[in-house]
Amino acid sequence: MNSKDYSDIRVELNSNSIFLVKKNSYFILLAMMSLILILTLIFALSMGRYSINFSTIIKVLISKLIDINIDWSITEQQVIESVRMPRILVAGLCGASLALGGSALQGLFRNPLVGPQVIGVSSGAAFGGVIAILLMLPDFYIAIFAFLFGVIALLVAMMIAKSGGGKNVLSLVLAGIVTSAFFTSLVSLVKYVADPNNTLPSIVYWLMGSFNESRYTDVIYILLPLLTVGIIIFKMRYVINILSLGEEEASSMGVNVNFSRWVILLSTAILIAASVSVSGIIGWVGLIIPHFARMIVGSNHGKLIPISMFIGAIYLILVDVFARTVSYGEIPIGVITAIFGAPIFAWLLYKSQLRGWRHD
Amino acid sequence: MKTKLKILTLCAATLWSLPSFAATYPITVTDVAGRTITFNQPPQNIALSTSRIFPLLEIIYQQDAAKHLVAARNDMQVSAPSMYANYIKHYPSLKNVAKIGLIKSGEFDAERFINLKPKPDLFIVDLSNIKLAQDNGLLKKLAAAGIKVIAVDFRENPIKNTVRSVESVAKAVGREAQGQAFAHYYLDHVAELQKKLAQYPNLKPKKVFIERAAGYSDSCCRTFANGNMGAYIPFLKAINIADKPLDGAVTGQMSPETVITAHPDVYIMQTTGWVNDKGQPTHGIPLGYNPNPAAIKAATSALMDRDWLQAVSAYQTKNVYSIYMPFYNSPYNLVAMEYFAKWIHPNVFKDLNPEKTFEEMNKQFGHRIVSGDFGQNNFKAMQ
Repeated sequence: MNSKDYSDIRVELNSNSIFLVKKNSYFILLAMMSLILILTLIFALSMGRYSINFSTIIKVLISKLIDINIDWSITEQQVIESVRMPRILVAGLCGASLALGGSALQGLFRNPLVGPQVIGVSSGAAFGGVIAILLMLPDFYIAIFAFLFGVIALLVAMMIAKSGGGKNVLSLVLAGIVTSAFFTSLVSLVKYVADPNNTLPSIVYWLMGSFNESRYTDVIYILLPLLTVGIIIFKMRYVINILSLGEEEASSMGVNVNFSRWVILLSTAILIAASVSVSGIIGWVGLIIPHFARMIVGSNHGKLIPISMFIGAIYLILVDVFARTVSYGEIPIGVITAIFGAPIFAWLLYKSQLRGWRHD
Repeated sequence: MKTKLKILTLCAATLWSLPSFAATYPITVTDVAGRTITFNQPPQNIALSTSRIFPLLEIIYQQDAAKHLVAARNDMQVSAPSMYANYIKHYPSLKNVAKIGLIKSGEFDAERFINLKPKPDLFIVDLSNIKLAQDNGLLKKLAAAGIKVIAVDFRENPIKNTVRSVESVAKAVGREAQGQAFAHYYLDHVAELQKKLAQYPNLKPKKVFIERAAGYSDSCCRTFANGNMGAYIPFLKAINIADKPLDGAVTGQMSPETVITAHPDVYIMQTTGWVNDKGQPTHGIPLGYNPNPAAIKAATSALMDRDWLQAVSAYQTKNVYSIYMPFYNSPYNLVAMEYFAKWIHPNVFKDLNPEKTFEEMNKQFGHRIVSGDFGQNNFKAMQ
């Protein structure tokens, strides 16, 4: 789709941001975000219950690029490389995925209160994961089941929406709520029949979300869908802009509303399911991060999507740092994102006065 | 020690053979929950809230153990498959025992239980479920139906409650001599451990970590502080690194990094070969009866391959071990205690033989010859 055709829309969408982001300053913003992300990553590597000097962390990282004199212990190296690094990468990628999914869905539904849970994907993925745990399947299957059931949940929601004869956004939201409720009740049923000594704690802990056992293989599991879907959604950024103006306007501008909607929905479903499969259920990220980004760059998805991803990654890395340093055990990520998310969301609503959605 | 054992065995055999020692009813028993239960006649049909405590019946009834079991939860099948296979082989009638649900999860159907044929007249319930059964009115329902309930405990406070549990059940069913024989054996072995430790007053306390249900799920690390197998650690003059983080709780979660930071000298994986409903192996190290060395090696390697584990000091000194998990809920928990003693203080307990203790207990109390792999050094197992 030619971006020139929609320059007037982009001007309107940009004007809704708190800070008016011009083209040059946007690239500066991207560079700043990249720098903040790198600094967050280094900060996260230096935080933890095992005390490691900041200089040691820098040296261990540099040693991957050039040969330098090793003056650190094997334990320090393993803590950095095997314990902290994989989980930081997974946390960052999950944060980016959830934020990307959230911003795409909010644009599609023209509603800032929409999150991944609205289309039922989170509940479906949760059910898939707990079924795998209940059946005592190898850990790899937890990810596969979560992913498959996440996508199945979306397809169920689509079928319900279609069978109701509704082609509009509202019927899909209602179908999503129905699907979500159905899969949530199935999760409750699984929890009821699970053995409370071993299976139930595993289910509960997984459902609350954690990067505790993140490995480099998980980085690949989340990176591949993020890259694929990220490209698709970014290619459709202008379509999302038009869809966020309303279905009638979009149709009149030659957009195939139905096809575009399903492509975006399926893409975000894949993203969310992939995220749930490696980390369990992490709420609020897909809801609040796009808001935050919208306050900075406005509602133009060409700018909103990359900034959302950066903020999502930074946010979830910091939340994970908090989760693993605040106590001897590990506070589940989902618990922290909910505790932080609710007041942050309230503050964002107050600050923005739903700025960026005035054209609705 | 050997002479003492022979005398004890002889005494026990004599006691068992004398009808004059048959208990006179009514009998009042105090269980480990502090409840007093009066029996007007010896119970014949017994139900177990967890089938993994079946060895308790074997200690009391020997070869007649299965004849007295009418209902049990099927947790042995899933959580201790090698144990189940071993017992099924010896007691085929165990296959036909009525299955009951777990009290804790609300699966237990009181109405169905009361109407079982043959009807249970004694329900042996583990301590973790007894309070719940009291609070939700289950004990009243069972009492009204004429079913007596005794609480036993081999897991929450094993050192204090194992002997008391065996003795109370043995007394209730009119086989006090068997309970006393077990008590003598158990307490003698515990005293022997204490005596050995007392000979080394300047022993440097080792730091120990137990990973609960290792291999069951991806997340690490669930552990025990002052209860379950965690109770063996202070008893063996060692430090449980989970004591401070768990802050009074029996069980809880520690992050891998917290474990690394604590620098444990000894790392013990509490594990078993879990299976699904079809009996196919799924998780964990399949220690136990009739071991499969190849399967044990593969499962051990998988658990030892976790990246973060290599940063643990016990890994670097090759002091990572595995213990057969079902011992945490069994009167044979003495065997686990001896393994712990050997691993924590190898120089002090170099002559200790937990495998022999297990075989001896089975032979003496269950009249069965059994063996298996119930504890291992993970590095040796991978060779």
